[in-house]
Amino acid sequence: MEKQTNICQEQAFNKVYKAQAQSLRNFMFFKTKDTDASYDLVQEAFLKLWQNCAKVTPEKAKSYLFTTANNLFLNTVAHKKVQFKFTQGVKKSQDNNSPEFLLEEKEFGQKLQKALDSLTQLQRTAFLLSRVEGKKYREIAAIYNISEKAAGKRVLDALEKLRETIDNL
Amino acid sequence: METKQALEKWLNNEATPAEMQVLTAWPEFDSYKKIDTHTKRMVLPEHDITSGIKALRDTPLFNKAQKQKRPKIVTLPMLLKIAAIFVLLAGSTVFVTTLPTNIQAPITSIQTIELPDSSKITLKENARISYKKYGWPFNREVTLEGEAYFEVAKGKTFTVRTPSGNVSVLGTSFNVKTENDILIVSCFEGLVSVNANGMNTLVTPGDSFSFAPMLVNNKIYTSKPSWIFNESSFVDIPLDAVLMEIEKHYKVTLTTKNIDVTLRYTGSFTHTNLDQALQTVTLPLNLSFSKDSKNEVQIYDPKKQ
Repeated sequence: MEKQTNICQEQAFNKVYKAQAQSLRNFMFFKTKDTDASYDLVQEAFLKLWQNCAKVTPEKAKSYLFTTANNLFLNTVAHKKVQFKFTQGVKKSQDNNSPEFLLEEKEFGQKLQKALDSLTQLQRTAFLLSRVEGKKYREIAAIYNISEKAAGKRVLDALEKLRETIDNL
Repeated sequence: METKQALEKWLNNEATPAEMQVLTAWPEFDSYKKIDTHTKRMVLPEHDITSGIKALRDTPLFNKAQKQKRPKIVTLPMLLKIAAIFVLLAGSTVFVTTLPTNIQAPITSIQTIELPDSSKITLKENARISYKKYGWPFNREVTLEGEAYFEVAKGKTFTVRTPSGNVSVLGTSFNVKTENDILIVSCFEGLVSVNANGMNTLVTPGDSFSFAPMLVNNKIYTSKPSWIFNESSFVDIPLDAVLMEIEKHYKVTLTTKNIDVTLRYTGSFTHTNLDQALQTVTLPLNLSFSKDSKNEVQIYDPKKQ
């Protein structure tokens, strides 16, 4: 019989940390837009998991972490006005390196930032989980405890709103 | 509608080739794609696993949770339960010991109370005391309104609080009278210390001090206050004051005829028999009395008539 794994054991806990920390960090980053704040939230969520390790099975650890982090985020009141950053676009041809292209890229980046700001926190996070993290609707639905359909609608709505906002800027 | 469905599927990386055809034919798809590619370039914070775990280990809360893992679950709530019981017990003990017991004597008769340490208090009519019955061994303290006679068992300091001052003793018999602002303490046995008007006075047996409104020293000649035996006693008191006392007790009207009401009287009268009372007051002063009707009595000097 396999020995029952318990997160209270350090090795098991570390394994969960390795597996979930980065994606949890991204999740918190989408919400807060803040590098430091997202780090603190992740650490706090893991601390909570450790304190309740006896009650949380390894299978439930992931959803426990996301729910806890989400609750912790809701508890933080003040949000710094921070912006997302984007990397330079990949150069496909010589033309793309032209000043016009770079300027356009920069402008679009600014527009995208503004558009992302105009989304609700839930829409934005769902959209970024889907696009940046490449999460399926099913996974997003699990995080928010909503139906897969609702998750898909949330992402699609966000995309449409983004396009509308960018077009109007 | 069709395009929207295709778009939703595309966002989930599940679009079929047919759906992709629909999308690429759609002019707006380019801008959606642009948003998508640009968003994907978002700079994400890199979460350093090793330093993250190390930082977590360094938190005091983390180590606390670790050390007390197993016993914590069982003993802490248990300990809390025990602590809660103790707190409740202590709380209720404090509550009960500070519960005051109030006793008021009837308007028409005196009442004797025995305290937990077999000290005795005799309350005069309508007198009122309050003390802490269950806290008595720790705090022998009585609050008094009216007049009462105390026979205190030996032990810790016994204190009588009155609006005009505090009377404290170790073991003795004494009488305390309070009325409006008056405080009269008479000592029959032992030694009584009275703290009134910011002054500490010792009252010795046979002494009766009036502390408020002013300090007056009188002598007493009885072994117990006279009201205990249903008597009123006087030491060198003007006659009219004594007669007023008789009027009060027997609900009669006294009139005087050709006598000096400033005559001084020392003695006592009973509360149970009007004739006896009148006799004990008039005889020593060579006076006589006649009952005119049921409630009217005249006092006169037989020699001057």
